[in-house]
Amino acid sequence: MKNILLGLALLLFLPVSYAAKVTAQITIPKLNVAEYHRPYVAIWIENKKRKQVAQITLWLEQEKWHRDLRSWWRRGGKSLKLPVDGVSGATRKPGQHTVSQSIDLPAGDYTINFESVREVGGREYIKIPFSWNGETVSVEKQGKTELGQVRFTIAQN
Amino acid sequence: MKPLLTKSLLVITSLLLSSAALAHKRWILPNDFTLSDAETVVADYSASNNIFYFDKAMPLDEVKLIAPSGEVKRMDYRFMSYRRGMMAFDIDEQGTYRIADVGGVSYFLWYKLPGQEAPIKDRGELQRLKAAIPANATDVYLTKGTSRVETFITLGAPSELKPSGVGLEVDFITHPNEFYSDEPSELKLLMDGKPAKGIKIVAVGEGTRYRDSQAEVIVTTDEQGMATFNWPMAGRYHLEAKIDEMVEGFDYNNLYHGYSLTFEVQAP
Repeated sequence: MKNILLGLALLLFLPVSYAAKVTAQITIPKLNVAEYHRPYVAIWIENKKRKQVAQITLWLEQEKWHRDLRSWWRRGGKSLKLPVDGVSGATRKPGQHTVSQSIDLPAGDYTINFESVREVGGREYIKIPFSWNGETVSVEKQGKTELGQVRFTIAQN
Repeated sequence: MKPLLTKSLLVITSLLLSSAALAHKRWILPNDFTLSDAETVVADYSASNNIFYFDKAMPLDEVKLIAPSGEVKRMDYRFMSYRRGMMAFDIDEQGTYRIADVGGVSYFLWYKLPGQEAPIKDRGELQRLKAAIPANATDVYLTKGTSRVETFITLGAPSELKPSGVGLEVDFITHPNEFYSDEPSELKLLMDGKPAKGIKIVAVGEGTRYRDSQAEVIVTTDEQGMATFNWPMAGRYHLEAKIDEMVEGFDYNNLYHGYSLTFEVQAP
């Protein structure tokens, strides 16, 4: 009886979780450089404790360079088992790309993270905060060097 | 131990085979560039994209230590390690030592086949490569390449450095052991002894792993082959230039001359 009560109490305090459809739009700029390699890109969601709670996109090639996505690697990439179904894939050409995922996400405050790094090139990391309570949220930002415009939308599925 | 050795040999071979090796930055890095007393110096020879972190060991066979007198000195110690070739030698003559790997002529083949994303690469003797090109190959580059990778160490006052007159090289107006962060450094780029005009020289300071950009310093040579550099900071640098052009009337259709220099910019 005690246990049931405790369970009920916990349930009441747990934040509500919603099935969500998340869509990330990312622009990989065309760069005029002597030696061009397609960037490695990671897009993920972090909670307030800076723990990765959802992987949205991973465009990777050789494992040797995975750690060059420094923020992604630091916050969880290093312990992630790859490939992640429906998330990881090959690197992409310059241009605009859209990806979407269906996830379950408890209500709360989060950040959406975009990181891009190019061999013999540069790295750019964009982090945008958002709050999720079941209502549609859309955030965007303009990259400066390795990323063009990035946009993120989360809506109830 | 044996499998490791085999692996390291494989790495070296594949590096030689790959024309992408031409794209990797190659560098000979000594533990010191300017000395006030005779010392033993060690240097590492490696190829990498991150400056200066050993990645691919470079062969030491052609690396020469040239004393201020012009005499080619014996290296006391050479060792091929998995990610670097290592050398040790005495710097005991006053003046400037040149440590250089001046490769001879090499031929590279690069082409694509219909429906195949990855290019095919080969290296070797010109006539064999020429014969190896399939009839349906596209984007064919049969490259004649030469290269020079070098660095300089000075004991006491610098001595004069003379260009060889062969290949892509630098005539130093400012001595390479007298680059300072508070004054411009001048150099003249030469191809077979003549000014190399309109060539992009790219310098990168060490520590690329710990910053978000390459922070390249790029200078294009003028009509006289001259380039003037202003250094953003003191530290060790890698500098490279290349001539990469399509040619007609030869068994090859592409000419590649590479030049790489490792040096330090001293704090004022």
